[in-house]
Amino acid sequence: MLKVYIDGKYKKIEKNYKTIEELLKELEISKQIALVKVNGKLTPAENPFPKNGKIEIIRVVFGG
Amino acid sequence: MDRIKCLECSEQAAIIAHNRTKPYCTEHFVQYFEKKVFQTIREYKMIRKGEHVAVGLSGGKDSSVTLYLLKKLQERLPFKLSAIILDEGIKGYRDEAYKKAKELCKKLKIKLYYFSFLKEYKITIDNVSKVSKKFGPCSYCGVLRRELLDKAAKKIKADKIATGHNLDDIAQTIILNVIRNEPKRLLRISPNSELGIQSNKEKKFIVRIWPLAKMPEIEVATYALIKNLSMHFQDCPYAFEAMRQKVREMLNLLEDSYPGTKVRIFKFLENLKLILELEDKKTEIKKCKKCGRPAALDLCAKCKLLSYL
Ligand SMILES: [Zn+2]
Repeated sequence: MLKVYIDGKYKKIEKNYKTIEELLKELEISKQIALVKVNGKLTPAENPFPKNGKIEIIRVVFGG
Repeated sequence: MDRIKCLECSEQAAIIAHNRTKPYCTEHFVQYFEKKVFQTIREYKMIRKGEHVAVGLSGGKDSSVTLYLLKKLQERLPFKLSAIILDEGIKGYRDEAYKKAKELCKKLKIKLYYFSFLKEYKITIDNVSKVSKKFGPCSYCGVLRRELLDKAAKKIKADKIATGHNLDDIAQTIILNVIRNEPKRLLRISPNSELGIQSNKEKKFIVRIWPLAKMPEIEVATYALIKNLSMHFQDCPYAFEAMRQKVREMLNLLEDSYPGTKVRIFKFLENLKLILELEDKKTEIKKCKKCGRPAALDLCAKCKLLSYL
């Protein structure tokens, strides 16, 4: 079971992605303003998309 | 597909730094980040032995990281460090930021000085936003912040003001000055205001330094997160310049597709200055007729704005 949170809000994800970066692109969130944590650990967005666990996307500035 | 590993050790990478070319674990990222900031401080001769540097603290990640790193620099370079926080009078926004700034200064054992628009100018930005018709609150805020920070630094006898401007801020400002056709303002941009091409008026202000000038915003945020510094990401309720927002979005899109774009914009300006080697000596220095502070016209920007209220 995979859970995705964006700025603390739960987001339902139905597709499978190759990388976390692909998800960011679909959400139109630039890598330049988003930190990604997988199971609480900071992770480059270029890493493979996890099958389960928790992904947190934290925007550090808004509107970018 | 394997997970990306740190360049320096066998740990998994936490971030890909340096235009997304250098993957690091948290420990090696911290080393990389600190080394690069200290190099920037040296390269631009930002701080000399014995000087008094005041950090303009906002409670946000950039100024918090700046203060934290200058405290760390004190271990190798003897200089005096203080912090200044300005209260513009924006309810709900500044209160939280002030709390964070106070906590950080207490933790780092740094003296924090508080100055407010209300005390200095008898106004608050909340109030200005209600009564001002001619200019928006951000115009007042920008001009008054700049003046008050300068005044505050002089009052506490600081030699320099350090602020948290990062590479993203600088690249945005460069592009904004191009879009607005402001070549003089463009050439004044420098991580150490002493080294920018300044007008005589600019020279009257306390020297400003930007230790994070070479660090992308996302790296500053990563460092702040790792070091458990302020992650106060709340934007000002009056939002900021619409055009800057657009430029930021555009630059981030370009950076995603062409890593290194922001660095190249910054280098472009540095190279342009080298080529031009201009000296802006012709601007006459005037004193504001109302308050006596340096001004380009009869009234300084602050007194002019206040006269409209
Ligand atoms: Zn490492």
